Amino acid sequence: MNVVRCFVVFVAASSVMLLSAGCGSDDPPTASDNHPPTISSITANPSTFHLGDLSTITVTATDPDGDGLQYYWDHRGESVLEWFSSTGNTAILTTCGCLIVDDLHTWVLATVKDGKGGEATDSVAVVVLAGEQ
Amino acid sequence: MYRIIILAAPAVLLLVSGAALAQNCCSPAVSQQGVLGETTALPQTLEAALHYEHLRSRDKYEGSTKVDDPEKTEAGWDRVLLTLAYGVVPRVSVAAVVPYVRKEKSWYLYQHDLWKVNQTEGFGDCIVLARFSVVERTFVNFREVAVGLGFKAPTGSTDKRDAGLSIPLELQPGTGSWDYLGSLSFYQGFKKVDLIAGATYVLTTEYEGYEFGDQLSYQVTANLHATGRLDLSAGLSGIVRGRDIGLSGEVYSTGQHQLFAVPGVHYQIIPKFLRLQAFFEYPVYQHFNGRQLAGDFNLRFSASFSIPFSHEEVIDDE
Repeated sequence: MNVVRCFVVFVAASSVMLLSAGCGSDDPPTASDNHPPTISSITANPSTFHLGDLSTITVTATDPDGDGLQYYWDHRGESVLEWFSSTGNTAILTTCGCLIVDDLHTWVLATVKDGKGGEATDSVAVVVLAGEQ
Repeated sequence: MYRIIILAAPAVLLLVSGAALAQNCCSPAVSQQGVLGETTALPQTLEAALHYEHLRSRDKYEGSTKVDDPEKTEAGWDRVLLTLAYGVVPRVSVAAVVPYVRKEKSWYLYQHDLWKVNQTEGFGDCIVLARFSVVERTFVNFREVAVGLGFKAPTGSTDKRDAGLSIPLELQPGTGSWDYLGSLSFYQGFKKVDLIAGATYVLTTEYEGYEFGDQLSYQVTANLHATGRLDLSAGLSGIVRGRDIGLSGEVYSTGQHQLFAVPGVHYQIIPKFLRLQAFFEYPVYQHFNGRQLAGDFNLRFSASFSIPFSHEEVIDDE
């Protein structure tokens, strides 16, 4: 019985400590103190290309708090598009060594994060032409 | 105890024989047929196995024809799988597979004289399969017909990145989707030879707008008991995969039919309990939709353990 009593006391004490830990005044800044970055433009150059070609994607973004920005790149290329490299706000897009019978109309997404919970996403349309160059 | 030897040996053998490797190198499909086995684990017996697989792809095919690949694309897949199967009650067993995968793909952008390498690593999607013996193996018939139902859970990562760049889903450790498996298997044991046949169908589902093609794998294997400890096996294993479906419909360069010749060697280190196996899969027929990387060869090494917990089985030794 003593063991049960000790366990109950331990659980109760732990709960109080855990709950009180979140009530202090030394909390880190919350997301509401931070302002997310904004994307002013995103471009693909070229935006229409053949299999095997490269396309340069550039995103222009700013952060109102002056935070350093991280760039994340995605696409809806469905086994046709592949990323080749990235440097800062620029990424190089290429294609698989496969075949397609219809032009692929899709888009590329860039997500900019400030490392404090703020982020912004924008997209640009690209077209991969069927057949080889 | 003798009964355990007779019945457990083919069960353990079947845990690793067959078409587990019969996949295009960077296919996200997970092992289902070979490593999961085609027989039901014995009651109160744990069958555990550790597999290492190496798959390599270097040739590109259009249809059944090998074509030049100026991009010099090369892909490899190393995988370690832990499989556990337990006989819950007579005729019914449950098996699970936990994979750890490392995938790599490199290609050359010859128009721009640039090389690119993508690589991912991590735990893949786990599989659980329940199996029921319609015809149960006994001392008399040495035959089993079993059906199985299971699922593949999306436990593997699908968001691996390279310096902020997304990596294609086919190179991710997981597929993101819940898939469902159904299997049918046949085993017939003779004095010197075991015959094994089986098929597994994987019904895939969609994940974030993309669905990998459904998959049927099949195998036929003959296992010769060469000596008391050494078995030699020869078999054929095949895989048929449908086209993937993306946001804009079927993805042209996906889906294939591959048939592999599969010689194997099995050796019992500790008779009845510990067995080592090696398999080599060599493609004898390959047909791909569109243009795709084809399999060069697949290798697999396995260590299998069989641990009976049942006293009843031991008493039967007499």
